[in-house]
Amino acid sequence: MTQSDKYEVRLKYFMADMTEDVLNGQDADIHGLAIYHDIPVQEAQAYSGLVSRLDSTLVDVQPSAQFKKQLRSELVGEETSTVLQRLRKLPPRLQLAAGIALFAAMALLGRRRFAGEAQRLLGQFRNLPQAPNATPAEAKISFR
Amino acid sequence: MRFWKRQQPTIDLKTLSDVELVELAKSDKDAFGEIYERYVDKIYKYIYYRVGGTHDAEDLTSRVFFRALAHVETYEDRGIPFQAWLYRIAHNLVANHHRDKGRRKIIPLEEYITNGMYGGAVDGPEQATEDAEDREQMLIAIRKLPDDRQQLLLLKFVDRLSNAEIGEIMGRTEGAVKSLYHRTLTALREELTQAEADAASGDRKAK
Repeated sequence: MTQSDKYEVRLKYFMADMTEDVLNGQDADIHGLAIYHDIPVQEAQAYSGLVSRLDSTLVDVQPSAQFKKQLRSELVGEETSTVLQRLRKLPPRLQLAAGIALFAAMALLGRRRFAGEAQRLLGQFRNLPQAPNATPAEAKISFR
Repeated sequence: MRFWKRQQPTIDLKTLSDVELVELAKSDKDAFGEIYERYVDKIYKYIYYRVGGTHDAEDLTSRVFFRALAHVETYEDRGIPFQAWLYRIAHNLVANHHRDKGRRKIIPLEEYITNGMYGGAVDGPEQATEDAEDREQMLIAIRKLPDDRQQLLLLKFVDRLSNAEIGEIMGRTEGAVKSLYHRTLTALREELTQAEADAASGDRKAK
């Protein structure tokens, strides 16, 4: 390997290390790196400037949120969002707890509704005129 | 066994590796949706700088993911990670785009400024324009580089990939990527020096 080749290899490793520092947002110690890789400081500074220019030129760009949402929708459809589908994504124990809570809520609602209805029917029954020969049991049957 | 344990455990797609996700995506659209979320920004950025405009970047990004969706069933990890496979689709579509259009569009200065791409704090409109011109000069120099060198710079600076990841995408070893990067920076420096010399001689002639 010639002296020139050896220099190119050192320069290659210097570039890799210096670029990594720049991309990681660290202040590269150009002087220290130049000494470590045995590169002239002026040459090291020129390449460091070039890499910094590249870093500020090739800035981050993002697709618009609207474009991303639309493309996703075209590819895989709308994101699942119904209550049942969300429930299915919960861990099994939570699904069970949610099921029990739902059942309890339905039972409570049903009981209150039934209690209200029974109260109303009882009131109607008390206001009914009694048939002359009817027993209370017959009166209930005729009411039904 | 308690009855609720008989159910299939719910899979959190975000925790899956690419390999697991791709396997699942062959029959599950939600899994492909997660792949999409994972890579859409990266692929878009890569394409944006290769084609130089929002409209074309969106069009090609869409095509990349539709092509991936159509072929994900046949994808097998034979030494090429899924990420590299996606980038190769993007690379091929960009190459076709340039071939069909027969041109390489440069991001217009106006778009560069209005998109706020000049970045950083600036002292005023004149400074902003000067900075944007400086960056456009850099973009012009980048676009004069051979295709593989442009690809390397974008993967490194825009997508922030490691040399190993770049090697997987470009089908090279990590060492070969470092060597290519060295040649790329050297060529870019020469190109910029030449452009500045040309600009200076142009200014002298103008005077």
